[in-house]
Amino acid sequence: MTTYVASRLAQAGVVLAGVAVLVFSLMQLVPGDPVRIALGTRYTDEAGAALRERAGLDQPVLVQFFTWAGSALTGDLGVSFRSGEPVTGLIVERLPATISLAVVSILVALLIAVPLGTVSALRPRSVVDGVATVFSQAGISIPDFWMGIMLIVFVAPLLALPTGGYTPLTEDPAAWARSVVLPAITVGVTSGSILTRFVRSALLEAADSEHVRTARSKGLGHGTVLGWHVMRNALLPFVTVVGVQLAYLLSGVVVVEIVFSYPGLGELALQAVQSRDFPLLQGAILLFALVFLVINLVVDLSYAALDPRVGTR
Amino acid sequence: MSPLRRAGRTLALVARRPGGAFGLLVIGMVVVLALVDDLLVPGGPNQVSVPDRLQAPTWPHPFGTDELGRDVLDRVVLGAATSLQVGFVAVGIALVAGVLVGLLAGYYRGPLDAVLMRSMDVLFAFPAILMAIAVLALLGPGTRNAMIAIGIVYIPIFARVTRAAVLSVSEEVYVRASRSVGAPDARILFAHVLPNAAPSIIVQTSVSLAFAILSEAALSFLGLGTQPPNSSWGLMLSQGRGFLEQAWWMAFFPGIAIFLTVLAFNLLGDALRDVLDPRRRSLMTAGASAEQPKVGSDE
Amino acid sequence: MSEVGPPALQVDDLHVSFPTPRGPAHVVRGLDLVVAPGETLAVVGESGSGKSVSMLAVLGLLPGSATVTGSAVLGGRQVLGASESDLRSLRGPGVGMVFQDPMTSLNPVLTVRRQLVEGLRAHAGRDGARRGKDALLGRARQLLDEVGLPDPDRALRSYPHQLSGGQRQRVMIAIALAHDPAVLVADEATTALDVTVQAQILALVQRLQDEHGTAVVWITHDLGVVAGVADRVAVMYSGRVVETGTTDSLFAAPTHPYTRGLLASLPDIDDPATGHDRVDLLAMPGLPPDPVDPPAGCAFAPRCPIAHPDCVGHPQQLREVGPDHAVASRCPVPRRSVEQQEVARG
Repeated sequence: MTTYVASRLAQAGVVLAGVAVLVFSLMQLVPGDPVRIALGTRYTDEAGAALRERAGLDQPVLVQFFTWAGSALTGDLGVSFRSGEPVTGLIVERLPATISLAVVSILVALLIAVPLGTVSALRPRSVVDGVATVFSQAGISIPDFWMGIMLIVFVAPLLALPTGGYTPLTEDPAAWARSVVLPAITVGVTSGSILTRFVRSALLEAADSEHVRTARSKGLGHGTVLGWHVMRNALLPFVTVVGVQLAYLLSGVVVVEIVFSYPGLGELALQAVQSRDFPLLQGAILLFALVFLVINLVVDLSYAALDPRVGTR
Repeated sequence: MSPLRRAGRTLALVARRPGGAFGLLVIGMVVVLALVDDLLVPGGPNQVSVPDRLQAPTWPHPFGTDELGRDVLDRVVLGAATSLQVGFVAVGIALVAGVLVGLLAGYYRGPLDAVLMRSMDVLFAFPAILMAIAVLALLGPGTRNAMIAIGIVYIPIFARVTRAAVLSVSEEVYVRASRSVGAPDARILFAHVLPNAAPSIIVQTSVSLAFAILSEAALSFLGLGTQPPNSSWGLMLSQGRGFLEQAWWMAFFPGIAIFLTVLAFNLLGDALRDVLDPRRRSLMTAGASAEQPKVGSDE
Repeated sequence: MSEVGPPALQVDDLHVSFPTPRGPAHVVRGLDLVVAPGETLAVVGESGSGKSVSMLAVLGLLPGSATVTGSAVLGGRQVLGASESDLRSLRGPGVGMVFQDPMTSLNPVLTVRRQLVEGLRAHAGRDGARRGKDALLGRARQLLDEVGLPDPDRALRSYPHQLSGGQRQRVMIAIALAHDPAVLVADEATTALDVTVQAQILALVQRLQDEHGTAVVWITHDLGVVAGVADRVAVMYSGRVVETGTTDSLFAAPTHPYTRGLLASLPDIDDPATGHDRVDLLAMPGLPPDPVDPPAGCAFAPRCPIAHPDCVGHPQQLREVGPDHAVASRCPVPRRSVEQQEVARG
């Protein structure tokens, strides 16, 4: 068991290192001199040289990489080109907003997916199943930014919801809820549609297995069979998929953030790209990859807890 | 059965299902529109006509006009070509590269497999949209670069799907037999392994096409994909965003177009999965197969 | 071995069909079976003959899409068409089932203890047993001991993948016999096991049978199993019984050409008869009929070396050819019966 955990950790470390290298290399490849872009109209040769030295850009590439990677391990992700503020601080500033959105969205998604997927699986090929399938397919196919726009146009005015911005939970819970609701619904519907299909297929597959036949042959009631032999067994892949969704929600909802002017990490990353702010971009992408890996690791560990066969092979 | 006949038969089976029929129909329409768009809208996407600006949907502008007086329907029709083009090229890139990686990884296993799949993991660890954005930051915005960016993002999923299929086939006795007799690897790969992996790859293609079109729209929406004066659905959405109060139709119709096209590819993918997956087919005879011997049964 | 009294299980004119894209598949076409209390019946046939499906139908374990007609009386109660809750009360106390692959038939994520106890708890109170946790655990331990597991406590704590194939099958048997049912159905229960383990399991079931008076239905395609444990045999082909009788009479005088084919394809070291003396049906050419389009007459006719035009047109009914020996064919009982009986006994 501990070997399993250790090997997963090692694997995650390797991938993280790979991501760091990839990100750093990508930034090196971007055309245009970052110093010129960062200084813009204030560029002079002296100012350029000064910035270059301060940012360590005059060092050979390998040195730059290890300097950056080294300080990253201690939590120092460098300083933003554009604003001069520490990258870590800029990122942390946006964390509450991103986490709020991700958490509420996944709740919305689960609220949609679990009932709908379960009902579908209980009565496959029935009318309910057909309707649920159509809904989930539509939910996946809707461009989320379009849905956001439509919500802004048609729903926000009706319910007097803000169409942008974010209020921290600690400041004003009611305002926080109202600022998160529409973006969360937008993201949650897409995510929920994906999960619905998954819940349905996982339950159907579990219900088809032979140990369910054995359970029924013992004379167990419907509820027991469903709970302990179908759902319990479908839980493992379910956890995996929810984890993947959560990782995505924490890092990939740029477009929805833009539509709702929601100050999340995605929007920060986009700004960084557009202004060629390398330290910020590197830091942001590295963080996203880290989040992804951490969540994957947690999922793998929970797998070990849920499935007794893991780690014994 | 020759591949062509098999393809025809598959299509017929797909068309019999409601989802498959819808998918084929809509995709067919969009393809036709894309092919003849120059005939339908000879003037191009920028027929500015300021006096007609911001008109609500009525005849002769069933989808209304935008802030420069351009007919929204015309621009939607022209956007079809862009979306399809990006979709097919991007998925084409992902398919070729991904399937190759998956074949090699799954067939040869060992260190090659580890290296290849870890690389795929690294690509996977990037949130897709950010990866695309980063690549576009490198290459610069534009339709062509968007194709490359999206293509790169989808390589890992094709690699994984192919590898999984290859792994399951490699265990089959006839593959092991061929290898032990010394048949050239390339031949085994293309004659035995690939055809067996084909169903999963085909289904994944359809699904990826759906998401590629969505991604193109998202990137254009962010200003990183198709650039003016070219037209694409995503770009229209971003342009329409500024006029939501006065002209909701500017954003509404392109969005519907994206939605229907993506839905069509998704439903087609579902129908293909139902038809091609041999496991699914045997679910229909699940009761009768209660006594089938565990070693594979033939139909 | 067999006692006087109502049959433990009686099946009359059972028909089971499944919907397929090409039309309904008739997998069981008029099955009649009788199992006396405490006796061992072997149901023999190849894959697709309907043997498993018929028993699943009796227990109500087929998918909802299946169409089942006929009659099946278990412990005096009509089972087909009974309500789900009635069926549930019958499964376990009335009839237990052991399946082929214990690895997939046991839930991999639950302990043996959980899987035993939940079966016990489902019917506790019915036979007066206490429902308390300790009582149930004690009973579980007792069951595992009865099926010959050396360390019941360790087995209880284990997950299925931590046990060997034979041990898993013993657990399945314990689960099936937990409520002392009148009938145990073993569906290819030894097929997935090693030969030595097979023998152990067969011996175990026989012993339990003697101790509890359980009737056992062995569903199998393995005639070696049949010869070892069965009192009576029913040979199935294409959804029907084509020959039935005591094990002795069947082995001594196999009458239906299919039965003879099955037996002749068994290698027999002791058989002094040389090639031209034996009934030469070593490998039966052809395949069983398509369940979607079964033939109107005798289903075996296309493959039968002695088919008569009459066989093709009319379905063959079971007719008595000897004491407790019935055959669904026009064929006469082989003349060598007496000599072969002596050979079989000797």
